Amino acid sequence: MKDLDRVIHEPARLQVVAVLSAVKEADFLYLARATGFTKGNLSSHLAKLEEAQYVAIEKTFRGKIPLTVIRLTDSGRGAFQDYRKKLDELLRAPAQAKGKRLRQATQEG
Amino acid sequence: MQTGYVDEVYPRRAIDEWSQRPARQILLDGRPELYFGLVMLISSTTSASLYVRPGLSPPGWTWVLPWLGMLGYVAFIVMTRWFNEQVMVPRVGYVAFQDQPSRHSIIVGIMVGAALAFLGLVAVMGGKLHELGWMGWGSGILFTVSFVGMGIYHRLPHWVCIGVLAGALTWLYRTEPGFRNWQLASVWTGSAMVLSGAWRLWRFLRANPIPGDAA
Repeated sequence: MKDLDRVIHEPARLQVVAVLSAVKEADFLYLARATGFTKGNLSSHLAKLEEAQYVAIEKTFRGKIPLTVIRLTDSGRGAFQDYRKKLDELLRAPAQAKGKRLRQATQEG
Repeated sequence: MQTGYVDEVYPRRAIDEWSQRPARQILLDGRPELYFGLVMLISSTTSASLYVRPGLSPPGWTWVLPWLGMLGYVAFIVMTRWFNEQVMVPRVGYVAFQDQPSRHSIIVGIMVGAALAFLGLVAVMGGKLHELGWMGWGSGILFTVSFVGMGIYHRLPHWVCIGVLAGALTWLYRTEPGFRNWQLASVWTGSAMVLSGAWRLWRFLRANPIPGDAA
């Protein structure tokens, strides 16, 4: 478990990163809708992800309306893929160990 | 807050669901059916061959149909763009999708499916294919396979129903010559899609007011 990226491992941030991994970029409203988080909650998680340089946040305008566009950086995308890989390995490990024990028991018995 | 991550047995399932959510969300608000249904209605109702009965010459006013069709497409493009920017983005936010390999695989899947369906038709019908009106049948089969397949893949039962309806209507109009069986089928299927899409969109807009308007 200690190998898992703690920034991404937090459930709310994991959800934000998972949604962002499927798009090129999205604005704050879209992310809030897709995740169901409140503005404050989403802001704090995005700040942590930005601090880790996993997301890039760009404040821009669409006409006269301010728009906050968020995208996953290359390192964020890489970290997410790495996280998924490690999680898979972690989940597979107990099943493999159980299979090994069963095989040994069958051979001994 | 319930995040769905509490699936201790297989948290990967929740991660997959979150990753697929943006692609699935664009299929849920009714716009795909509404837009696709409108295109089907414009293309089928503005085709002169729809109004030509076998053995009769086309009515004199059919020259206006291609122009109406062109006008319809231009209006459609302008309206969908306006609608997406003015109505949808303020409600659901802005999102840009990247060209994902999964989209390529869906397109390749549809093309391979269409080619296989056509080859199957050739194998079954042999030399009688020209009598069958293969373009109409091909369109009907392609539409049915695509909508049923996408409906099953994205868990959208109403898409499966639309696919089955299109297939059934193409079969129902099987005696119509040439492309007419598909044209007639697409008038009804397009109408059903427009109605279904408009209803789903209306529900979606009611459930997702512009932030600030909700209070």
